[in-house]
Amino acid sequence: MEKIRIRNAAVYDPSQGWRGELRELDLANGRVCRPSADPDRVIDAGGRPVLAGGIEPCCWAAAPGLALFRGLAGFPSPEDIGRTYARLGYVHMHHPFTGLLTARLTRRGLDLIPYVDTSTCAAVDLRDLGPVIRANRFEDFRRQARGLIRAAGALGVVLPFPHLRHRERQHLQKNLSSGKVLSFLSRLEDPDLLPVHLWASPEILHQEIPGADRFHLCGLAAALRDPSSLERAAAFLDAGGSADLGLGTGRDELAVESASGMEPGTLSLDTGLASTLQWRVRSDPAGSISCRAGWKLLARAKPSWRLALGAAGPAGGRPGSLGEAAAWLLAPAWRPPELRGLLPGFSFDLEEYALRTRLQPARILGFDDLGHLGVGARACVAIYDLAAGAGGADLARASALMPDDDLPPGAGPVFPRAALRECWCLIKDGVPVREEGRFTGRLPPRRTRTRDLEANAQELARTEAFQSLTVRAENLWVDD
Amino acid sequence: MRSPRHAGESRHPEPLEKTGFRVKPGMTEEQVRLFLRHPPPPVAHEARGSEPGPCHADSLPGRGFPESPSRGPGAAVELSALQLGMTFTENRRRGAGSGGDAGPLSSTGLSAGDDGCRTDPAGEGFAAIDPAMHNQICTGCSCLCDDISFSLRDGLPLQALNLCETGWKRIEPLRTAERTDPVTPEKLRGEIRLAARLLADNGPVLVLGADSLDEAGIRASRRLAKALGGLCLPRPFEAIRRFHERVRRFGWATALLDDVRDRADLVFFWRADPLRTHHRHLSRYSFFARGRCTERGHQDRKLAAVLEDQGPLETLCHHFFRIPPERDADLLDALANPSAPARFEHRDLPLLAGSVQRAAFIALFVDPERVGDDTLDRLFRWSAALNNEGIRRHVILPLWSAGTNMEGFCQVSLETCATPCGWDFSGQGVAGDGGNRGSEISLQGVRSLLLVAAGDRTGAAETLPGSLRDKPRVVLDPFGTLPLEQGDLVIRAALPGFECGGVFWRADGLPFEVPGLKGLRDRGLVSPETVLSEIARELP
Repeated sequence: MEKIRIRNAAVYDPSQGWRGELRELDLANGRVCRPSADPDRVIDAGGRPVLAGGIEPCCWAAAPGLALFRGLAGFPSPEDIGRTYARLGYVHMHHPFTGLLTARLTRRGLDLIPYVDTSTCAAVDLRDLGPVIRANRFEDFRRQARGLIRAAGALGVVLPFPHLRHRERQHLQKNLSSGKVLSFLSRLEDPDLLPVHLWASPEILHQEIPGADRFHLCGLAAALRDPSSLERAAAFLDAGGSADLGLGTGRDELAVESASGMEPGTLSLDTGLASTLQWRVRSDPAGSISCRAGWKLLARAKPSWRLALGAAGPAGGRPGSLGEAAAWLLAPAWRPPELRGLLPGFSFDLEEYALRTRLQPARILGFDDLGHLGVGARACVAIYDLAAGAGGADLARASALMPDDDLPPGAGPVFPRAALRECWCLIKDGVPVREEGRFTGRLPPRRTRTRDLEANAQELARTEAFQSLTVRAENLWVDD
Repeated sequence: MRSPRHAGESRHPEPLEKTGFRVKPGMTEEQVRLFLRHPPPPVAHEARGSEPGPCHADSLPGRGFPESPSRGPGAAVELSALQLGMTFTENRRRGAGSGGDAGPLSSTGLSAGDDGCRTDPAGEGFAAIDPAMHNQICTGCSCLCDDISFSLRDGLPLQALNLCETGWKRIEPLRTAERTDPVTPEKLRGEIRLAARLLADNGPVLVLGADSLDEAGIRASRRLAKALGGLCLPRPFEAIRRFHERVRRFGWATALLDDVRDRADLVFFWRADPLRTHHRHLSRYSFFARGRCTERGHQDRKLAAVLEDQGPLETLCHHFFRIPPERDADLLDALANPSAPARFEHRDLPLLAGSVQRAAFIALFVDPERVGDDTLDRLFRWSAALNNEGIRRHVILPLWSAGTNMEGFCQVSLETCATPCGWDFSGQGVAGDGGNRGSEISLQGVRSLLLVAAGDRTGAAETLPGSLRDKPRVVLDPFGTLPLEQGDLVIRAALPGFECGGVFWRADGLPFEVPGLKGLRDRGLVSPETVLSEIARELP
């Protein structure tokens, strides 16, 4: 693998305290290394901003039914998803969750995505692990959850549905309230299982979440449906919880919800979990409450908040939509009329961008070697050309139309609209994927990352899931 | 990674209590064997005018069904195990009443008894089976049963446990020592060259029937069609197009078979007969199987079916409608609007309407090839209406009788071209757009054919649509059963799932890695994927 030096790089890396000062970055053996004397190749960034490769914390990219939905609603193919993220300067994409039954299907779908690494979490089905929660058997839960991570080839565990409610009278004693479940999970002591991901919903936001620092809310924007949920989300983040937030741009996106109703164009799937998942295309105009809520929350973000920005929209179903939203974030002039006046005094610079789209997602997903450019980090680097394109004149016109109260003092640099939608250069694991705004034709190594922990999938043999499988368990396990 | 015990049918209830076909603790091996050799006297339902199909369980000698005095829960237990595609091992587990077992076989040395196909002619026991041959996946149909045990003698399958009639028919060709003429590499290369020339000279080419191959074979079919500038379609492409057009128009509620097993309390087979096409469907997934909320198996479920003729399924059904397809619409109207004046009268209709009202989870299996557009419309509308009520769940699952890897074909097709119907590289936008626009798929422009045989005589001219019968034809025949004169060129290949491994997709869309059977006699056959890839390479 060639040694690469990037010179004249305005590096933004909050973990190192780099705020755009010009410096050199040396890459060797797929890692960021100390300066070496003889690089094989030098890339002149020409003062362009350089960030670590982006990390998508929540994108539905490989779930069962997605292939069908591609035919119904034009969802992108795996190849398109990979190219979209590479274009955006991203190197990793996280799929929210998979059930045990669909783990192989999900893994197969993730493995088809080129350019970017992938990962997913294993869904905790309360029908299976409910008995140990009800009995407060922490050690059993720990072993079984670890087994689940191992069997599904996952990074961690996610609780898609916080409660268990049976319709059948004979199963009523098995029901679990979300309060009981969250209380149990907040007392987990196993660092390998933390943070426990929760699939955000209005219901979960209105729950008291004890030990917020032990939870991560994925797909938060889709749950912000009223002012009270906005307050609850802010309180959760204040209390030390983490979340990922997709920003709405008013364009159609694929939404995944827990619902069983039917409409034309929807796909309603029982995938072996306690509740039904419904796929549909959601249209939230830029001025709608659900679209504005994410922006409002971001405007209130504090430096201490562990808040990651998703690149796939509020529901995690539109890969790469952050390209549009990034222009709105960084150049207020590009914000549509619906958002003007909504974010008074709100400024967002590249350092904040690097924090929310690189460092925070990496920390939430537990990647020590991604999201930053310190020595030893993986050689995943994205360079953006903020001067490219002919956006200047348009930008000036847009600025002239903008109300003064929306412009923060010294409104900062203005960027062409597509500046962050298409990176100028992307190096993944030391392999240049894009150069000068074009794909090089080289495919970098990619993998689906799993949590390397001591676990035994056979622990699941004690659960009800194992008792009622329709196939032998070894035909379901994901083999790494 | 191996599970310590079998996770599938070990929790099945005892469905055969009235037949006496039950192995109880304490029964000796000889007693069981005696029963298997001499089942209860059959009352063949042929006497009632049925004509079983080629895969019919009842087509075997010595088979028959007790006449059911009345349908209902009692009738559900009157079939013998073999007729249901179940084998001794399953019943032994049930009889023992265990929640699991230590493995599919024990030292009992029992075989499937009087089943003509699966009987060990030498009376050999299964105790001698190579352990590596246990827990194999059968690709005979899209059930993908993964608890099959095989024994081989001289590289030929001798016995099989848990293998149903459909699966056995699929591997039947492997059992004959003279399966094919010897295939030498030189001969194969010559055939491939001939095929490439024939197809290249007669474009556009239709590659038909890749839905019976493994995933790699399907992808190779696509590549070949692309290289030839032709089409690649599954055999029931028109039915797929019609089904997915309804999915787009009405939305679709569907489920994994695990959910059906766990929750379905009303199972409906609409123009789909699992006892003809998916023998173990009832026992593994849909009727007898015990699940989380159906702990008593078939006793917690109602079974309903709509078929045109009588069959063994009728004796299992609580509600059976033997009606012609023209009356489907009336029946569906009556079900969707129980309070409206009935245009359809049937003795089971009020009972079925009651079962629908009481059900919390309804699973409807339909063979889209056997229902018309109007019926499909009404099925999807009914499903949407029930789901929107919010009281009960209604899911529709296609049960294709053609193509053992139909779901795999649809998945690969959807991933690559956003339509499940296959690929059209001819530039006419025929197949690729068919799924999206709902237009008819026309094959008028096709000038030659590469046909993948799927067993029986599916490669034969008479099984093809009229417009294709007189076209030059290359047949890829993994079964070796097709007379050579049936195609301009017949190329033998290995049987996917048995002679070579691959990825197969279950009926509900879950992929499974099938390794193939180790130890089979080497006949010089190569995988269909290799043959198709080689043809593409030999193209001028």
